[in-house]
Amino acid sequence: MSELLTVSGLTVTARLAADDLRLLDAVDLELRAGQIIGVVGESGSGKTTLARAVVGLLERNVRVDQGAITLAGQTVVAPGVDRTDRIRGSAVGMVFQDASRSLNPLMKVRTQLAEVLRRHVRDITRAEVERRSVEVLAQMRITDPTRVLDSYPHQLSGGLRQRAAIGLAVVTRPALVIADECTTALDVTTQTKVVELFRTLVDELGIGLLFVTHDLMLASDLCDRIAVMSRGRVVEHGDADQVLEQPQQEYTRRLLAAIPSWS
Amino acid sequence: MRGAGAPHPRTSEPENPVLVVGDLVVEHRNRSTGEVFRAVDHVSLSIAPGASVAVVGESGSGKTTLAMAATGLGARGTGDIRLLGHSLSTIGRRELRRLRPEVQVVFQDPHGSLDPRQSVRSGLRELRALQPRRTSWIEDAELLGRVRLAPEILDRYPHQLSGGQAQRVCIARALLMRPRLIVADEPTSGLDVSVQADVLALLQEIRASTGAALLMISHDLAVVRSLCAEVHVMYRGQVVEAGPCEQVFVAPVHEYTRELLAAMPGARWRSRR
Repeated sequence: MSELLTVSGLTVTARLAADDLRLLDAVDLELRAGQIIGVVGESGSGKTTLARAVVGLLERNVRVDQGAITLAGQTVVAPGVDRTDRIRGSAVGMVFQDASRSLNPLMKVRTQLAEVLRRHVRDITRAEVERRSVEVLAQMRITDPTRVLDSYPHQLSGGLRQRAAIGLAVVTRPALVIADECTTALDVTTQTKVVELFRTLVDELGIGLLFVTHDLMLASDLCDRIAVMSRGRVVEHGDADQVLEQPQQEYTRRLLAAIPSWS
Repeated sequence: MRGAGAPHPRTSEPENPVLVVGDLVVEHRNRSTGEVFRAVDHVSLSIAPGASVAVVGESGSGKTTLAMAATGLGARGTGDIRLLGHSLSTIGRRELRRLRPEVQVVFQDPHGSLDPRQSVRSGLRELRALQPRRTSWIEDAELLGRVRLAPEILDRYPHQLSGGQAQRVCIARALLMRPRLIVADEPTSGLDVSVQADVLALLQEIRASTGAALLMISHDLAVVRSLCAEVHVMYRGQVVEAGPCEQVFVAPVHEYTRELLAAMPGARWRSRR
């Protein structure tokens, strides 16, 4: 089976006033369709930089020095190459930590979904926009899609808001979804529901999910594969069970040891 | 005169609870709509000297409102609160001020708790000026040593500290007052796991060495279980279940407690160990 997303030898540097800072150092990663990879690490490990590199959302002073990112065999990022505008929002959807920031506070959910659909689906009819908007919210296990469509983000609970944001990310039927700490601000019971929703979406729609989190336990529940990052490197990468049960690297072992024991 | 090395002089009966909350109700009124929201709904709890008690619950469950009311720092509400033997409803201002140093709060966001324009040293100097006698038991450098920070940290400003270092400074500031009750409101929520582990170990150590009681507010059941002996589970302003951690977490009685436990991340990992 072929890889959906391949990151190979990706090296990314930020140019700062004083000197250069290496954010990613020869990062390798693979993800297949229908799979979830958890990118796990502590603050500053580079996990968000990696997620943003895939969708071309790096800061202006950040440059790709070496390596490449390919999506379904097509090179989208390489030194001097940035074709992410062709995939961002269409082939690749994004969900961020703070749903109230990924959603426009001045627009109803309906308008935002319509805007995304019109932008990415050529010649879509008004009826089709409505149909797909309702459909995607139903996929998000939202029981009353019409009410949510007619709401402004602030009128929704945190969990509903994040589900609407995920709906916005998948309404264009992307092959890959990037989720960056998207359950961190939610209560645990809500987090569980969102995580279960992701699993269902991946299984039903066959998308690939790159799930960035600081929570190793959350990743262990959700992910098929886990990549542990530290200081811009992927220090360990493999099957989730294997990484958690037989960590090969000292860093992974330390991370696991730091989790409060439950007994 | 207190001995310089004595960490904890006692002034009241040791067997009296440091905090008793009896049937507390706290309501917030929306000023524009006039609607009343009951944040804390008939809650009672008691904390013995040196005890470690946690209040867990999700956002909006009332756990922070409870802690702030119980320590006289937030909306009072109705009900009887006895802090170190004094009833908060009848206590005078001066007496309350005298009581304040006995209760120290460590908040979630350490950078939000520290004055950005003050170095660590000058912040400590300010505390010492407010409570000269109470704080004379330890020097700055030794105090920082107690929270495992190097003396160089004294000359740093908050923005020069990592989240973990800043939280240690906050704990040091609390420790300086030799409190009898430490209230920790989500003290590790913004920190990386490895830093969290260090901060939890530190809180535990300080509790053991000073005999201060701990009231811990948290949404993280694993953190609570590792640090506290007793837990109160809050849901929509009410304590739905309370008891020793080992009992509540092993054999939960209330539906909501079970839901919280089931939602704890890491079930797959724990089941394989």
